Amino acid sequence: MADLNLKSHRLEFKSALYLESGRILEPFEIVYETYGKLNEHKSNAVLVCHALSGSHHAAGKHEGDRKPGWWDGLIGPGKAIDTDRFFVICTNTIGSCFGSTGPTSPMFPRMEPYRLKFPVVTIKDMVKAQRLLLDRLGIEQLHGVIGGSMGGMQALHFAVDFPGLARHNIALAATHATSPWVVAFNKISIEAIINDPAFEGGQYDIEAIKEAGLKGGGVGRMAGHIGFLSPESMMRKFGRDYVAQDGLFDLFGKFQVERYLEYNGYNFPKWFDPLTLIYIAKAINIYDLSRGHDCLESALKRVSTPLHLFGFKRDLLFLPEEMESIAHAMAAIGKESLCHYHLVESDYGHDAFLVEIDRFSDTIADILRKDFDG
Amino acid sequence: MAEEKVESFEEKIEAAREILKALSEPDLALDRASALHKKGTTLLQEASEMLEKAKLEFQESCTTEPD
Repeated sequence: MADLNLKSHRLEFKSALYLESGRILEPFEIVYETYGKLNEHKSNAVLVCHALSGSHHAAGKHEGDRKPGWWDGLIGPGKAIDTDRFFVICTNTIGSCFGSTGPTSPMFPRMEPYRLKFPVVTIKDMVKAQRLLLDRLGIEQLHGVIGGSMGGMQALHFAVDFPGLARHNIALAATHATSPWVVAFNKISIEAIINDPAFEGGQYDIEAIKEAGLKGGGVGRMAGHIGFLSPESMMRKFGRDYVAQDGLFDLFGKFQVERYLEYNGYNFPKWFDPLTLIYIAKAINIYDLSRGHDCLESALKRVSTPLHLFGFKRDLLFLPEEMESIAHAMAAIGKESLCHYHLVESDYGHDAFLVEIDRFSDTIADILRKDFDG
Repeated sequence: MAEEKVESFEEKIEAAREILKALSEPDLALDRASALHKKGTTLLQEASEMLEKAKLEFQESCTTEPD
């Protein structure tokens, strides 16, 4: 087995990125990581797309890191996305805050952060930017594109917007159009941020927030976090355990689940920029695979390579039924042979796609091994 | 006993130990004993809170960030 061959890259694009809104992003940058080795024919690339708070750091560890990339259980030598066979690329989406152009990036020519001047970007725009990156790398054909949650939305857009670009389009824990239920969760995150006086209408000191956090952003993240779990996984994780030194009759004494939400919630704005969160939540909210087409079926008519859909049984954010409905729509247009729906047995909740990798990794490995002669 | 603020976990435990020693002095006045007891309890509470926080930080440092 070779090693992971983790490499970090940054590419600058001097040309304009024409956005769905009609606005342009120019110039723009994409940061990305690669694992494995691109073969001579450039035919073994697999593109991995990240979720809301994810980044291009999907696998392995950089020097001094305490934890590996967010899909380390799936990507690596001998793993389902086998870096001994595949050249894996994961980019930070445009609009995010880990290095690709987003609301905290310097705006040409004054080089002050864009902040609210940053244009609203969509999932389709994120995919278009990644397509330009592949062009620059000389990759005309992907063996696969894969992602969960917002990453799954990107995989679906690849299948519709660039038919045949990937031999396999794999979407997990996503949907074809964001439901009001998810928009409602995002609403709490957004309102909590903009109503915190320290947000200063988006003019806050970006570095200071990284140090001190933003209370509102923390509260919003707590709501978001509930959506990532399920009653079952919370019960397993915390039960009704109470913090040992807190008094039961102390009004602010805490259950372990409360302590956990506080810890994760209030830390979140220190590593994920609050204004960026609003932009990414907006992109998720307005995501609709059928926009620009008459209906979902007519969008899916464009799909020309296999679509692999994974729903998670107790995903309360993007219901498995929503993934299944894409398979029904594919069947309705006579494309059932191009569509494979998998229901993953899990009661963890939405984050099962990040946490319970064992439950679906063999299926992913089988899909990617199929018709790969690389 | 010195009244300076003790910040680290180890210092808090050490200070609590000193207080415990002081509390076992036979000729300790009641009001002094009561003040020492209060201080000791606070120190131990703070230390145990630090321990809980460290535990949570450690657990979370091993898990993937949520979506």
